[in-house]
Amino acid sequence: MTGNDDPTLTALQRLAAHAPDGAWEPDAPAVMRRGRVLRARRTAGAAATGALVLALAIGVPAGLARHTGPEPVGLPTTTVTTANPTTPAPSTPTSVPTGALGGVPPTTEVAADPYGFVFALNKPTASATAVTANVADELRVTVSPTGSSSVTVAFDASAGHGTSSSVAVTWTPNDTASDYSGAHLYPAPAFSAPVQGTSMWYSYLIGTVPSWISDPTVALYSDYGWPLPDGTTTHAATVPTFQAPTADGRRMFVLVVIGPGNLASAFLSERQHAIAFDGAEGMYLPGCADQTDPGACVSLPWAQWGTQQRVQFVDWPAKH
Amino acid sequence: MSGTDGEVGTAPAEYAKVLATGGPPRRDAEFTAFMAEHAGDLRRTAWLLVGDLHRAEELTQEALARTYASWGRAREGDALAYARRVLANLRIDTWRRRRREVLTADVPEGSVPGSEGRAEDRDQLLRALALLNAKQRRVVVLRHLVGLSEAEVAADLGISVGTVKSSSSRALAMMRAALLSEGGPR
Repeated sequence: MTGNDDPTLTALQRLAAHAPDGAWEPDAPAVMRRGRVLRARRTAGAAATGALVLALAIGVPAGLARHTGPEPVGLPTTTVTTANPTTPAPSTPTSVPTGALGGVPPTTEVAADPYGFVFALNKPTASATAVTANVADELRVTVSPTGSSSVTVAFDASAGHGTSSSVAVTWTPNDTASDYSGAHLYPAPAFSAPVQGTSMWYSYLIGTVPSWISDPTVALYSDYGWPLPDGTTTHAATVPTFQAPTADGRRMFVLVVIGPGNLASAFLSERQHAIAFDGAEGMYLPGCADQTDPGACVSLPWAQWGTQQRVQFVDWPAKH
Repeated sequence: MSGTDGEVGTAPAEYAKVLATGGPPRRDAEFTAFMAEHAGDLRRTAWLLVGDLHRAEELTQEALARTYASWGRAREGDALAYARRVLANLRIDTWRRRRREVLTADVPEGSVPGSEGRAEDRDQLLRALALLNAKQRRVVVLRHLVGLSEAEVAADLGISVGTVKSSSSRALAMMRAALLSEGGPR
């Protein structure tokens, strides 16, 4: 405080002494969630258009080619439909359910300041009709049954001014590993959609858990990584699954990546990620041309990835 | 397969929980600690800038979010100064007019002897501060209420030291006149 005999300053200093004082806790999750959005949008705004074009030219087609190729009749089929970006998105409630939390950015080992976030749906108990979740206040995910072994996963991005899209996921009950060989890859649809007016994108990775693997752990391996408390980085995360709201109750997973286009698209790019099902029957990697050789699925040596400590998808930020 | 138009209107039955990967990284742990330590100070400064506790808390949260968005840069130097600079440069034009009501809500004092006089004192000062434009108010708050040097104020607001001096001088003169017209500062 400045010392002064001016009665005006003295009075001002009295005012300062009367200002609200004491402990006050801001809404930390909201603060950090907004900070991430600001950061991502700033980064997205600064990103060169060429980088985005490059990412779109390489990343998205690669991801789509890997996951959405023609499927044989009788095997799980997947169709991705993205709404026309010029079509006004439908209105949707924007309230956030209790427990919808912000994300931790994935990092790379070369970039100290990450900008993207990975979210996963988690519904421990079975849902009879539909499963819905809001992601980061801007994206609404609804998994609705369309048959005894099929669902539609709708991504309503209108709250975040993004492009809404949806994907139909159909599976064969009681299938076996031998059903998926050669070009008949186990489906794990992945696609991206833009946020209008920015370089932000949403990327989605949706899948079902193979029926022939008993209670497997689902793991996501990514070229991006997550920081560990000891300062190192891991590239593996255990993915939560939930029971599809269908008669057969197949287990599913839904992952959402929010970030600048180059990051979000790259996340799904060929050899940049892998989903692995790890059960008593062994490890199975869907979407890989040679599912017995994980090294064929990822860019890093599997020996390096496979031994990674797996981080958990958790409520975050942690409650204080 | 269909687009979203037919899907979104369907009433959801149950909400799933959205989880995120990993535990809080070091960056978030640092920022959380920073918030715990300084949020009160920042809210205090914000209240002096806008004269309303609710608005002050909104501004403080926004300033903290922006600080978090640039935490890598903020933590390289004085993170509190960085956050205060962000705060001071947010829009503070919406000075709440119903000041007496706000003050009563902020600091209940009815049972404290002499509290009426203090409330009147603050009310008078806040009215005088409200007469200042946003830039003058920023200067007065940072210079005379937060206690920064002229150079620090200049750096925080991105103006010259000379502008700090002239703005401060004009602002104090205006406040002095206003206070005198109400019988002088108590």
